[in-house]
Amino acid sequence: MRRRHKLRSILIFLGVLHAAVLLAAFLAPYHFAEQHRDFPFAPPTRLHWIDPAGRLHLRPFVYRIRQDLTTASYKEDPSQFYPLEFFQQGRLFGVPQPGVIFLLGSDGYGRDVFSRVLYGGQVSLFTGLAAAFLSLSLGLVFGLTAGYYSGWPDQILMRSGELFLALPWLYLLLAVRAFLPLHIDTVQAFLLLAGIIGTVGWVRPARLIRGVVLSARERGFVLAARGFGASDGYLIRRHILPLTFSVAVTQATLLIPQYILAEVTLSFLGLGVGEPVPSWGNMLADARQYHTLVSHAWMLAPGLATVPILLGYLLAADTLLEETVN
Amino acid sequence: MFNEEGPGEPLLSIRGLCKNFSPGAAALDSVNLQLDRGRTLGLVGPSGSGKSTLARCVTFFEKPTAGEILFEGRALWSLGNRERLRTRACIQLIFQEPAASLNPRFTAAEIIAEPLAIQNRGNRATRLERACRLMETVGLPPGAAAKPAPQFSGGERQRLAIARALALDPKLLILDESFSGLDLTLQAQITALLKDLRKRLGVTYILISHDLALVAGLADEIAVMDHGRIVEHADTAQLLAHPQHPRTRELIDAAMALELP
Amino acid sequence: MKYAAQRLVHAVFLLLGVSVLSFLFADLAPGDFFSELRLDPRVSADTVAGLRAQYGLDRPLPVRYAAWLGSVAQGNFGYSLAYRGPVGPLLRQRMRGTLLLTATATCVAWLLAVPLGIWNATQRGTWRDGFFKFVLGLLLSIPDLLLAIVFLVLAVQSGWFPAGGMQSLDLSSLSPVERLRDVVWHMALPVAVLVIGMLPILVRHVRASMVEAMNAPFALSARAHGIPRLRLLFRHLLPAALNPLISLFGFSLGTLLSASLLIEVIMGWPGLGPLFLDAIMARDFALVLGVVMMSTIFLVAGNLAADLLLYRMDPRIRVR
Repeated sequence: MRRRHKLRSILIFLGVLHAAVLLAAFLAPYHFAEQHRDFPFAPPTRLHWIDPAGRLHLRPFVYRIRQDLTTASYKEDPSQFYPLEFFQQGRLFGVPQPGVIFLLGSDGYGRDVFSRVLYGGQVSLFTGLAAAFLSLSLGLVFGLTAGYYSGWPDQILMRSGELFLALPWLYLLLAVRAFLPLHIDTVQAFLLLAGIIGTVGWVRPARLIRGVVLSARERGFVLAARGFGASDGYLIRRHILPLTFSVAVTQATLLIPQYILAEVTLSFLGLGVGEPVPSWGNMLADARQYHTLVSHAWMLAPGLATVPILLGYLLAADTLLEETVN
Repeated sequence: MFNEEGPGEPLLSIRGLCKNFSPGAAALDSVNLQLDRGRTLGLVGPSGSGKSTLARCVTFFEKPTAGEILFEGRALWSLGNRERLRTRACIQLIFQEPAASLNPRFTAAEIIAEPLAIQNRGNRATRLERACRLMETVGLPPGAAAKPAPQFSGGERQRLAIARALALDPKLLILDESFSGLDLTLQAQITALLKDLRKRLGVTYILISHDLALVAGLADEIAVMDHGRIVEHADTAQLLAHPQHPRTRELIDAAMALELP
Repeated sequence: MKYAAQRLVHAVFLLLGVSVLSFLFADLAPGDFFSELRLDPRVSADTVAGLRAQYGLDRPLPVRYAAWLGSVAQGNFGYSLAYRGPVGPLLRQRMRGTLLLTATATCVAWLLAVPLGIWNATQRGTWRDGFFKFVLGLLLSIPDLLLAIVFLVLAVQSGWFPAGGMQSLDLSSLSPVERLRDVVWHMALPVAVLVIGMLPILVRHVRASMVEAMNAPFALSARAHGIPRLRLLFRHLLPAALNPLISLFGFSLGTLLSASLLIEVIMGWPGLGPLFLDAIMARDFALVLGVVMMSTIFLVAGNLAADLLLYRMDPRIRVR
């Protein structure tokens, strides 16, 4: 019972993170492509509640920032302040122009990193989810066929699976990517990435499901149902398939974080989603020039954003695996 | 429930049945057997004598290497698909481990109604109703219809398996070592149930066991198997009083160790 | 011996299979090395066609594959259009880099993981256990990508470690010992990232294996006999725990190579990774194929070694 509660909390945690990313258009103060050329590499904007005169404001506000052109650093200008506005133009919060609110600073083009992290999360997270769905579906189909019918479908599955596992995973992914067009637009990129990441990873889910089906096939109640004249389709649908669900769910918690990282890696290397659409990967590629990083640590935000997600899925997987062991 | 053919014709007629799993290892070696309607046959023998294989050949689980099986005068293994489906309804096999043969995620009603669902008889409501009536028939409270299988005790699960086997109105019921896992009290209960069903529904039974004592209380005739052959076949009283074959005598001696009914 | 021969034959078939599939897949690929050239309006289609013919890109598939196989037999692995030379030497050189990195990382990781895992196994149930598990989980949730970038930035900023490469420029003037120190100095950060990436899983497995071995009947009876703890540890428990660990090595080799690819690219270590990326960007398919084969050979060989080691060490397997 404690495990159920634990699992539920973890799922709620993950759900909140995913929802936050889905609601990027609402939660983010700026569109991901919106540039503020006057404010490149601005540090995270500080919120204040007490103005220079010492009065407390209920609504937090930000000061105007000015860039010192000689040192390229930013200073707050207390003479001008902009209170936070809520629910303006379909966004949760923002500040009136020409004020800017960069919760996690801005990048080289003056684009708000916080907003881009949210939007970028859509790409990274949902590519991961789509790819995991694809892998599991393929694994289910192949694993069922191989496990249930045995014989040559099984042989084909095992042998081809070996081929896929003969290469290190990232090498395989990049090789497949290499043989596809280099320059692709965003929608194509998303589909392509989810497609190849998902397709390339069918083997482990398939083998696991095959194992479940092999043992399920011999269960007494399956034989009994066959004795009543049940067709293969009935047996698979009513008896065997339900037994694969727990394996599938556990696999999902293991695959999704892997696949999210796959998208991030591919985009980081320039082989995934490209400008201007943000993905945590291509944002980190920007951060790669270390002269920027040393003074602009907030550019690492997309990388840090992956940590709670990965942690969440890791905890979920652990909890699920504990359950099956006991 | 009683069919239209003449009383003289046996329900089940097995002639020269052979089954080899690998060359040289004959599980069944030219078995001949006839069983009349309404009779109860006890099939006994040591482990590996071919009893289960015989049962599996009769219920379409194993294909015989040679010989023929006639059910109601029709050759079993030459039936077309639709005929086979109907015949499956007439011959039911109850396995050794009733608990294993029940899907732990199914409720009692779903389990009992499953054969009807598979053979597409009636709709959900009528199937549920029949399931409840069958539960009563085997002595289970119909109120427990929605309980999942694992919540029933060992003896109750036996009854569930039997209720399920009855769902399609079978003419022949084969119980393969179905009593082995039960204690003596439960064995007695199930025996009583089977007698009751025989009286009410006129079911023909084949009881398979390695324990002669178990079977003797219920069977009209007993066939003894050894190494894939039937070595002796006679009415129960006759067999017990004047056993002919050494194997039979061994089994009787073993049964004497416990009390005979 | 027979087992080894069987596994070797199997490995060769696997390699052949991968090569055939790769060739087929490369053939389906739209465009090739000269595609970029085609886009240039100053270059005529004829010139491009001529170039293609010159390098044999227009021959039928089986012919090209046979030619490639021949090239492999000679150790050349085809011809790289981007680097204008045989692929083989490039592979060998870079392979050494990757091998050095991964082998060192594996040794360091195991040297750390085994004691940590053993210590952790003895701590079961205490608050330290939970804390340790949390720390490991956190480490596991930090992607290698992030860690590599951060380390690189720290290196540049602090100046303690070089920002890339395998050796300094003035290598020839150094003595062998100094050269070794130089390489180690360059290797430190990439190895550190790899080790941190591997450690959590390794420690978990060591701990699990140890716990299982500790609770096994033979161990419990040994303790009942009064065998001293250290002796128990080294002569009885470790060998029993070793088997699943060797299997783990086989499994994790693929992940290690993948991690190494990324880290080599980010931290500028001259291994297969950066070579692969160059090949992909340039659409130099011979080189891509070469790297694919090299990484496959590495993985298959590693798994084979683990299998054979397991076979020798575990009498139970031999009975099969």
